[in-house]
Amino acid sequence: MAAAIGALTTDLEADHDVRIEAVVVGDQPLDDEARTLIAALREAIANAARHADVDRIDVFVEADDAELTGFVRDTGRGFDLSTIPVDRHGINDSIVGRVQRVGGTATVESNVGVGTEVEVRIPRRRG
Amino acid sequence: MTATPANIRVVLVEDHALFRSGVRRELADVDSGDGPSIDVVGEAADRDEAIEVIRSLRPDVVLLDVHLPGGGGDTVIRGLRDDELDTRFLALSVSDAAEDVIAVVRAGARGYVTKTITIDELVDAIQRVHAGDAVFSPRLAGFVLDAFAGDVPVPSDPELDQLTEREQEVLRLIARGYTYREVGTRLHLSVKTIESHVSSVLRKLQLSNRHQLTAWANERRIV
Repeated sequence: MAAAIGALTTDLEADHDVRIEAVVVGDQPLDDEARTLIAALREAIANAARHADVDRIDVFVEADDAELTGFVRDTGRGFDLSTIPVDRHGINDSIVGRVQRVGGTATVESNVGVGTEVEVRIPRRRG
Repeated sequence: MTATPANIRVVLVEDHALFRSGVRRELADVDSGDGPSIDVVGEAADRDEAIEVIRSLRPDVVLLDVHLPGGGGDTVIRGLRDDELDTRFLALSVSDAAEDVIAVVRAGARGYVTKTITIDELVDAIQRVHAGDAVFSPRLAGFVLDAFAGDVPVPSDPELDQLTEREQEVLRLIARGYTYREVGTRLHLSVKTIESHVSSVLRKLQLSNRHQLTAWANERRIV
């Protein structure tokens, strides 16, 4: 999973003119949960790269047997969560919906002028 | 207006000449803000040269590559241990290998930054290390969390060698890209307190082999 996150950030750095500082603690096999986490991270990073107007995005992933956690943070433009149209595809579908389908949670915290952070938590099926 | 603070005398230790000259030029051009300006007084390309140059120039701060011909950055710091210099070491690396970075921090480096750092961030890191702070980049925070999760040998007194909940919390926020100030705001703690948590993590790292830990405890009459 750590390798896949490395590939993802290299990819996105090439597509968008932005530096991605990715830190991965622990590693887990690339199963459905891990793939879902990575897909959600991809969406969150791409959103930040497109809308935040920053030159650096921080990504932190921590993985153990019990849970996968991922954070994508920028200190860019930010937005008012209440003004986002319900049907705004990126956040609702590609991040929150995707993560909920595997039993996880995704939250977005954003403040105008301060930045945005997306937090994704996915519990791992055990045994 | 206060008097201009003394320059920070810096030595660059890095085996790629092109990278060295790039950093030197950028450091010469950059605006150092309110802090002291940075004066690159020497360079070295391998381990032995580094020890010699640092010994004779006694710089304030050494920017130290983790990988060097002749031995890692940690061996440079160890090679100078008996010289009793006031020099502080800031590790600089492209390395993705936690063990390399942890080794240099254990040897006594006061911080670690990656080569993707911007010049403004680098100046800030040099100024902070010079002022006595420990500089934890998000990546270093990640490496440390990893190291304490697994590789660290079982200590004789777990109280001394485990990260507290609070220290872990601080490291996680740093790994997420928060500055010390932002971490402080979020945890309702002062920047000073955050710095002291970070320093205590650094101390635990540097003590995290049994021998040193015992010596440390003896000194303080803990055992």
